Amino acid sequence: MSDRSQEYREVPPQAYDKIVGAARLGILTLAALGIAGALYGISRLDGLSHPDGRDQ
Amino acid sequence: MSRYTIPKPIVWAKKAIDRGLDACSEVVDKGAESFVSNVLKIRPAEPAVNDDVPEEVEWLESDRSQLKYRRDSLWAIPKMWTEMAAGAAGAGTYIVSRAAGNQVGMVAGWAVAAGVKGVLLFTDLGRPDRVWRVFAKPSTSWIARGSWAFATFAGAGAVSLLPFAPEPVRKGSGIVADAAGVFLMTYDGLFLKESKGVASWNSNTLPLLFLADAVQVGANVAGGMTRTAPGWMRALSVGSSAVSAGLHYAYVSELDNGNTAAKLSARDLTETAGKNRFVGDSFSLGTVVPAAINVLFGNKPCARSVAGAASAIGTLALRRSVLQAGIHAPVQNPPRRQS
Repeated sequence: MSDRSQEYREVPPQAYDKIVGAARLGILTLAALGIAGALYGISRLDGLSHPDGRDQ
Repeated sequence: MSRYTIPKPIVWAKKAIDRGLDACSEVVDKGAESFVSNVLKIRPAEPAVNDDVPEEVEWLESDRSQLKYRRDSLWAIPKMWTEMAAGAAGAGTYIVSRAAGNQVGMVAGWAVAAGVKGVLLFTDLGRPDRVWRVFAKPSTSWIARGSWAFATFAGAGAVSLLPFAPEPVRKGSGIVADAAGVFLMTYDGLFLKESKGVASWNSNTLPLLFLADAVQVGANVAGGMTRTAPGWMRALSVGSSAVSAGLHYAYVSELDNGNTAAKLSARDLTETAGKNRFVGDSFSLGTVVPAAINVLFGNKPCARSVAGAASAIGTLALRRSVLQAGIHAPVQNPPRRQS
């Protein structure tokens, strides 16, 4: 049976929490960019409802 | 007399929605831990400290440590925080978009508030055939008041969007939908305030916090869905974000000065289980970041879209963290000490 602890780098719990927090922030950033892309795509339709050139 | 059985497609749809929301609610936290563990191959040197409620009670009031303070499990579920966030963000977006004359934003806001929230509310019913009962007794029930407000918003909002309806009808319906929408934006806080058994929900600040948050998410998402945001929309975004930030602080201060259950909730929101969500996602990402973007880059449509996305994530996180920080105090009196 191999010693699995050799495969992992152990860090203090506080540092581990910060690393997980950073990874979490990265995932949220990706999600936010996805939502932002959808909103920006919808904003392109806005001009279609204002043919008076309000979007110029 | 024949027994009523819920139609199978409704049962399947309810299960699918519940499981989908459960999975979505865990994807960020579990994904982050999985990434660190499986990709970066990092793990903590010692096991994480168990921060469950009973130990915190011991920390606060050692002579009552034998009593159970328990987290709420009835309302603190993905379906509830998702429908609350959908109602707030959708109604806010509809109202701000209507004020700005952006038809696309009105449709999107109405669809989220009436569609997403409506489906989630419907699937939350134990007996869909008795849906009419939730409208009964609006004089005493906040659930009934909310149901009327939701139905009014959905109906009047739909009429205001009909392209073939006469202009006065569309305008009048829009005003009615606006009024019902403002109620929807505040309603969840008023409804939670009636929960006497959960100190952190029975709060005067909570309805104001939910309203300010709904205004800021409405202004930001509506701003993210338009090519040119008028100056008042950006000012509304920044102003409501500032008010929301202040109310975040006021809410936690109120809990910190409350009873043991309220103190436990404040600790949840700022130090332990809910810190990432309340302080990180709701306060920082959902309030400070959108305001900063609007101040610095508010004239750029793509920047406003990012602000809208950040505030939408913050709105969901706020409702989730508040629901998950709901702690029921013990109902029995503590045992008397023998003298």
